[in-house]
Amino acid sequence: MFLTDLEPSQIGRIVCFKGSDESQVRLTEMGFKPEQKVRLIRKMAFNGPIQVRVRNCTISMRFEDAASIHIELNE
Amino acid sequence: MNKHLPLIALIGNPNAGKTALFNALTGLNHKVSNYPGVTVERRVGKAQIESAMVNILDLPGTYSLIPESQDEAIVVDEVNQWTRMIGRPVCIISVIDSTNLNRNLYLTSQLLDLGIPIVVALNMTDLARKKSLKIDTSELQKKLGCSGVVSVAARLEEGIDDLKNAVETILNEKVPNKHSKMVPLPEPIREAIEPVSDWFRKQEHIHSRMAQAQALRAVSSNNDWQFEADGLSTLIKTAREKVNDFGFPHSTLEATIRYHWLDQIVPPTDMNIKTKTQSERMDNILTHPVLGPFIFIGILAFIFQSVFTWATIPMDWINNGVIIFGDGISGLLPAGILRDLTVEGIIGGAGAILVFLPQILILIFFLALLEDTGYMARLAVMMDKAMTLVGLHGRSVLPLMIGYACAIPGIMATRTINSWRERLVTILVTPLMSCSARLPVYALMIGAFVPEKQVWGFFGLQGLTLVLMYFLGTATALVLSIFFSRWIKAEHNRSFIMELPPYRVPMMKSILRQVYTRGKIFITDAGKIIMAISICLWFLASFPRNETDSRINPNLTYSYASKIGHMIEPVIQPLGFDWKIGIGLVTSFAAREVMVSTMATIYNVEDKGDKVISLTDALKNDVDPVSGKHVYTPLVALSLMVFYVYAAQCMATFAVVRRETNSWKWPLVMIVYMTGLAYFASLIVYQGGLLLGFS
Repeated sequence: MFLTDLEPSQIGRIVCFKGSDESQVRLTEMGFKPEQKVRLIRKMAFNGPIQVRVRNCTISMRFEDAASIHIELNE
Repeated sequence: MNKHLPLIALIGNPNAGKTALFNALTGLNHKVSNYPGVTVERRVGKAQIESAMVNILDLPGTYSLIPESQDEAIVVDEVNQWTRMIGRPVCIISVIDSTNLNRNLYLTSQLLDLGIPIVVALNMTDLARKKSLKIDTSELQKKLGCSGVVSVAARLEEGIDDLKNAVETILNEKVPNKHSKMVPLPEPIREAIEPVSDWFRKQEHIHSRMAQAQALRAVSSNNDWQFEADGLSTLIKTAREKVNDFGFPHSTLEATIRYHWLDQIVPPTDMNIKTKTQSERMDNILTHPVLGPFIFIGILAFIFQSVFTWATIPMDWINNGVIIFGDGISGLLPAGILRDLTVEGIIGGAGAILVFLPQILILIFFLALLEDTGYMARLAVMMDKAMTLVGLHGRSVLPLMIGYACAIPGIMATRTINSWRERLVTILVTPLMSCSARLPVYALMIGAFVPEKQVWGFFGLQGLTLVLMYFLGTATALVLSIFFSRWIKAEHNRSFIMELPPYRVPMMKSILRQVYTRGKIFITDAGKIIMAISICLWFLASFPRNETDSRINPNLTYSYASKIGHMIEPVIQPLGFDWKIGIGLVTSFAAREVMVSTMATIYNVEDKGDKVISLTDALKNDVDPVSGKHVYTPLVALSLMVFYVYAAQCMATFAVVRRETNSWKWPLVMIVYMTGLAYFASLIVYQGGLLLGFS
């Protein structure tokens, strides 16, 4: 599943990136790397940007950026 | 700037508080706010460290040395100069947000490879203390191997002396970060990138640690155009293939390796990812899909209403003050040219502008407030989808909002937009946002010709008319963005990633500082440009003197100004403008608010008395000598306001656009489209109004 499939308050663990999206470099620099836990805060209407909590900060990214991050649900 | 002084550079993530620290060190007053990417240019200021003077360099924020946008590229270009031993600082102050140590130290770990002594300034310690985060500074210094770690709170000016002491030690001893180790590379990775490292070491003559860091960055980067030098691109390509074979996507290589190291030495502070923050709860309301937009519209409406209602009292004070001052001077000077020039030209012209200062300051106050609370960053995210639909970007919201104050800082703020096409479109439409220089023109026309009525009980009709003018400019900007983004074929980046800073109680000190700075610029402009133009204009309007004809006003009728005005009149007559407005349009090219002082000077010259007249009354009473009709009607006022919504009348803006786009093409496009728009919109308003039976 992808980061965009999370529901608000659900926590996921990053597995890897899909393909070679141009946002990959910046996302990893901001701490989105394999094994990292992320919590989805909210999704905006009409597939607008999503907000996530990662490494003690709140990051917002476009739906398309989030759709490139493979995650698995953190039990 | 004295180039011989030792240089000390401030580097850190966006919104880590570099500029606040810069201000605390240098005593300067640069803008600080709660939005990632407020500083978009490099700035140097002097500071005293013990007995020595040093230069302090403030840079935009960046997350890493692989730049994503223009503001970050400024930092990376600077750092790349240092690796070539050009303009190298004696010390780097790596500014860190202590509440988010781990992520902020990522950039520090990249800086450590430069071999320049580093002092880590743990900023916002007051906030970290509140969250009961404890950081052992000497332990951190040992683990990082840097030259010093100091706790500071730049906004409260706490710990500044400690920081100066740490820098002083480096200035005296010149100790590099002797214990800092290169982030350990797994052996196969080191081997895979070795040919690239060797290339950097030999070709750029840099030490081996830096060469390895450059290689790591080149392999991870997406900006391949940087590495087109002979042979280098092939080496990088081979290295990437090898890295990918180990199961690392090459673009995540550097970050993965550095975080692996960082997570061991400083585990991410708050692993309790479930805890909902205060800001999240506030966002539940403020960025709510339905409530959010309504709250935003409500805030805007409130701001524009208060610009009109709150300002009336101080405006009356200034207005009366100008009149009393003019009368006083008039009594002191003997009758003659000097008195006419001082009272009619200088006091009348500059005074007419000064009246609008309260309105401008109120507007600036609210814009600064929105930014400093952290709301502007939410707005960028909330509006991103809608902005993308018209060819703009979430990050276009701040430049456009700043455009309500002045297009120039707005255009500068576009540097944070990571996609060139969206950035260019934002630059082109930002001047359509009604800036504070238009406010005097709107306010004058509205004050004179829109009745002071209440609509629906609580909205003033005058305030609503003002909102309408702002809306007209904003809506046109958004519609034109669609056309521009279709037309412009430029490089385009689809991603948008932005950190949302926590909401915080705004610091009145820094907001009032911004208000003060803007006010000062406005007054000095009124002092320089407006006064110069008022004086020139007074001469043009008063000469050649004609003593023989004693009709209404001999001087103005035969003056040079009148001749120039009448030359323009045929072109602007279809818009409802007479020759006096024509002169105002010409002088407005220096700056829009000059329109008001121009009108004031002309009417003061025309008036036979010695007193400074009320411009509002003069406009209302101006009658065409031939037809006997009023020159200004509500329709003419509306047509004039619409003209000012669109017209390209600011030299300084064109100069900035030329610099930011590095070509004359875009300022020219701007002048042509804005002037055309202004003319035709006014034409439609005036002629349409006449057809509908208004006069």
